[in-house]
Amino acid sequence: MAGLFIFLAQYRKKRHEHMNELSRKEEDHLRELHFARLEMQQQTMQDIGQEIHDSVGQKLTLAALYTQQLDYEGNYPEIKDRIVRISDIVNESIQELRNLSKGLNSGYFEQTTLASLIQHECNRVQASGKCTVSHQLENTIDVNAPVKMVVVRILQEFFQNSLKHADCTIIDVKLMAEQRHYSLFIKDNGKGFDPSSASDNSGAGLINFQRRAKLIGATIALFSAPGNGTSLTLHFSS
Amino acid sequence: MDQFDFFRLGNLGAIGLSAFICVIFLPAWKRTFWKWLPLYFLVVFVAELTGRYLRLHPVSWISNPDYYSFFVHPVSFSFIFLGLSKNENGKTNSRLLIFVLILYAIACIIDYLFLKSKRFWFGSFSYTIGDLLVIMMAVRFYSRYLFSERIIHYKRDFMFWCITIWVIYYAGTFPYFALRNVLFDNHRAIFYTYWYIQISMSMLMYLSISFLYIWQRRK
Repeated sequence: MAGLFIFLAQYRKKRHEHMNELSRKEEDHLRELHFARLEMQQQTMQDIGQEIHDSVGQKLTLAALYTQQLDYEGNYPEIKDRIVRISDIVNESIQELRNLSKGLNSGYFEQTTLASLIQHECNRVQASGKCTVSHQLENTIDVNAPVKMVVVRILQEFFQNSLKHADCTIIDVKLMAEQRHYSLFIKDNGKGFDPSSASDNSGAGLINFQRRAKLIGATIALFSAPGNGTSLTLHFSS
Repeated sequence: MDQFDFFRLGNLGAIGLSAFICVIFLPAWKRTFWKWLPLYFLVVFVAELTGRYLRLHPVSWISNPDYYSFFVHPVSFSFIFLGLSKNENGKTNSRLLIFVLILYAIACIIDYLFLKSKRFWFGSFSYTIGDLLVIMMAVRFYSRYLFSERIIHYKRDFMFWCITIWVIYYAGTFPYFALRNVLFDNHRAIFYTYWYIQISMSMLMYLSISFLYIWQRRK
């Protein structure tokens, strides 16, 4: 009887260990799968970025040259202002396409620090004039490109939601480091919402945040209440 | 046909049926050590048939007990020792097998040369030693099995169940064979009761193993 009890106890223990091992392997497999998907996305974006830079960018540059030439030749003085305006629009478009191409290029994520990437996003929102973005960023954080990309995408999504739905005027961004553990805090002063009764779109947005955070093994928490704004905390490591 | 003979025939029938079943399902086991099980059952069946013949028609050159002690039991124990000396990875522990076979062979020689003509409390010295060796090897098997990963799949592990059935039979009948003469001389009622128990256990052992051979066959 004692032998039987020992056998059953040992069986339960080994089975428990086995199940843990299986679930750990499954998690690893899923993470690898997510990373492979992320790499594919990165590659696709890089290709699109390259295409924008090489093809559309070149053609727009040519168009800008033609309009400048028209302006220079002065053959059509009656529409000179319009030609200058077209030239300005084309130049602005080229600049925007360059920025977009840079954002899509994974090399850009590799070469730029996380603090700079976040600062760039903050500046972009600030430049839109829709709200004021204040930031406090730890500059020494060194993480790999996929982590940077996920953090930036989460930040972009938060900004997009705040500008689109929250009617906020101020957004605070903080990036902090403690040894090799990092935290990103984002808070807006918008109208907020009740996460427990979130609509399908808000629910999907929350799931999207969590899905992205899971890709890099990060933990994410979103707090919001009607009239009290929305805040997001992301903890991740290198 | 008396009641004893009825049970003996029942045992013979169980062994024959088990051999038949195992032969039928042999293809499912042809890549494993257990492909030899049908052959083992067939050998035991033929040996038991011969033993029955010798019981009914005694010959001068060998007695029925000697036939069992020095032919049937050594064949039977050799196969069981081989099964029990398998490690968790399925490989045979040759050193252990040789050691156990030598011990058993020494027991047989001592039995043949010095003990078979004398009457002790056991029926057969070599069988008692073989029985003890099976129990000790089973303890070794279980102690290793407990800490191996195979324990997770014990429900589908033919070797585990086969060894368990062997252990139940050999440990369960050990007192009968170790004290056979004492029981026969002084406690006749217990002896007969135990005789029925041990032969029923033998039938159950062969049938259980053959049913396991069907249920746990490799797909």
